[in-house]
Amino acid sequence: MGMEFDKQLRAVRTYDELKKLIQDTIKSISHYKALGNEELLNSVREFLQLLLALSTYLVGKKKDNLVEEKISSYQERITGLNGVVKEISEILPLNLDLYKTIKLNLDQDDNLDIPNMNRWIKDIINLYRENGKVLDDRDFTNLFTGVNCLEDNELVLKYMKLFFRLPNDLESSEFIKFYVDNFSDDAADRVIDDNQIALIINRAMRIIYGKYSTIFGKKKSKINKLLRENGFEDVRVDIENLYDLMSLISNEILRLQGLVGKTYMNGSYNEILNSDNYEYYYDERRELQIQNDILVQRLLKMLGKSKEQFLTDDGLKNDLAGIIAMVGKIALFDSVKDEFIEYKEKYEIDQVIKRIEDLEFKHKLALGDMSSFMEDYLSVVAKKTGLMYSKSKKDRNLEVLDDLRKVKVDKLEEIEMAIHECHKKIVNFLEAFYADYQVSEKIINAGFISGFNAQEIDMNNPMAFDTFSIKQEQLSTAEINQMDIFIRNGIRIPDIKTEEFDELANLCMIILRDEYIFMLINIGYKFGMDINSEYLDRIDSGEFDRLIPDAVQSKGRR
Amino acid sequence: MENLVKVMENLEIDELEEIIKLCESGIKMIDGGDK
Repeated sequence: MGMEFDKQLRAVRTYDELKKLIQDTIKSISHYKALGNEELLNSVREFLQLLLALSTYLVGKKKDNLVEEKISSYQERITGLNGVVKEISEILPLNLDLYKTIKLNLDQDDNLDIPNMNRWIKDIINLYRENGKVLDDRDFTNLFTGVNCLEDNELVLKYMKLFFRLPNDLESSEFIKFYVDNFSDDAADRVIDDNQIALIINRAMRIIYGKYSTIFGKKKSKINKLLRENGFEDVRVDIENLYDLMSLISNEILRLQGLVGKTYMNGSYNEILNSDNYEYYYDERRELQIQNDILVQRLLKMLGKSKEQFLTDDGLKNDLAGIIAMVGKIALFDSVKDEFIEYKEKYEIDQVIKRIEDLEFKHKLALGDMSSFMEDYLSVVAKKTGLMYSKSKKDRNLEVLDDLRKVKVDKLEEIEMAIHECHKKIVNFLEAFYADYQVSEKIINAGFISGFNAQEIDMNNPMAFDTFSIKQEQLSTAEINQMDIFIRNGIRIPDIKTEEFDELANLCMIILRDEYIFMLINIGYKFGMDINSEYLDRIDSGEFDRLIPDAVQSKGRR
Repeated sequence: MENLVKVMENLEIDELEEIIKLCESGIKMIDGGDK
């Protein structure tokens, strides 16, 4: 191991050269042993141990990279599939739950009772309306052709007329009356049980779909393109398979998310921890984990929780990630609050919120009005005709009432549309705000996985999405401390303007910022779940103090 | 050493694993003789 060896070592350029050098070195071991040259043997051991440590470290690093490459390819696919889901949700902009009901190929197993059948019809009619086609009873006239179709045509039209007459009273006894009027007592029950009317209407809906399917054309081709780009080459979107398609995509997303978790857990991390060469391996990840456990310990102290409390309180263990994210979220929002208020004024969001409240009130009144009107209306429908009350008089009365009903229905729809428009305004405002102030980047930097995303707003109720985003006055300490997650864990958050809060938020942001923990949250990891009493004692005794990041010492978080 | 690290960084996982095996057998040879 002298000058000559150093020269050879410097000359190594390839794997084969390195391998040969090691083999030659090993060959010389017996020679050095025969000479009894301890010094040389020690040098050889030192050299081999160094190579061993370096190789073990590099294998670990490379395996980590492979794992990460694999994970990022899964995540890329998940992002792509989320894009498809988003596009599909644009066909059904009002209510994502519609996936469950819109089905143009009902079968007997669907077993719809009258209210559910009516809801199914209403969902389909709304779907068309949302996409620009308002259906009415004329669309259900003489749809079927061929032998014995007269009866079906008549039934469909009768039922749909009734449906359009009672669009907001889907459980009306009028629908039962329909069966009684059209079938014998024995047959009516069977017709309902066998879904017969639903199946006939389903056939009608398919014909209507054939007629108007072009209104979905542009969006459908966009979705089909996205499907092809995301590995679903053989699948084509159609309104009738939306439900199945959504299940297919959701299952695939779930499968990929599972793979992300599995790949991570099966990655080299565990392998190296268990390896004999562990002592040579510079275990960055292990250090990160310990760092985070220390930070979580500190956080618990700040939240006034002892380690004994933490170890015995499963509720707190379960909520800890949520608490950390919530404090981070409050701090993050506080950091963009001034800009947010300015932006809210620019978009006149307070007025929009006020308008939604007014509209919702009006909607309630209109619904009440409609319901009492329908009572009167139905009493006229039920009124028997005879000498005192002629059929023509009844028809005239009904005609007047029908016009009135139409006005009321229009009014209700108008209010519903206005509420929808207001919701859209709020979503647009949030999206613009996020884009202009790089809120998303700040969120990503802070390690938030979900929430705080304008795309995820519940279109039916954007107000419920994120109270912080909408009502900044709720950022008062009193309001924050009223949040369930803090109350049920007996935690009091310090006032957001104090240094105490800054320290707490700073700590939460550091915990959240770490990439490793980010990944763990993603796969459902719960902070501190593996911490045991002995480990906490070791942390307390300062054994790992050298691992505490400097950033924790610094004050302030922005 | 810098040069050696560069060479090793470019090795494939199976090549590095081969190096690990060789080093382990070498160390065993030295230590085995000591016992």
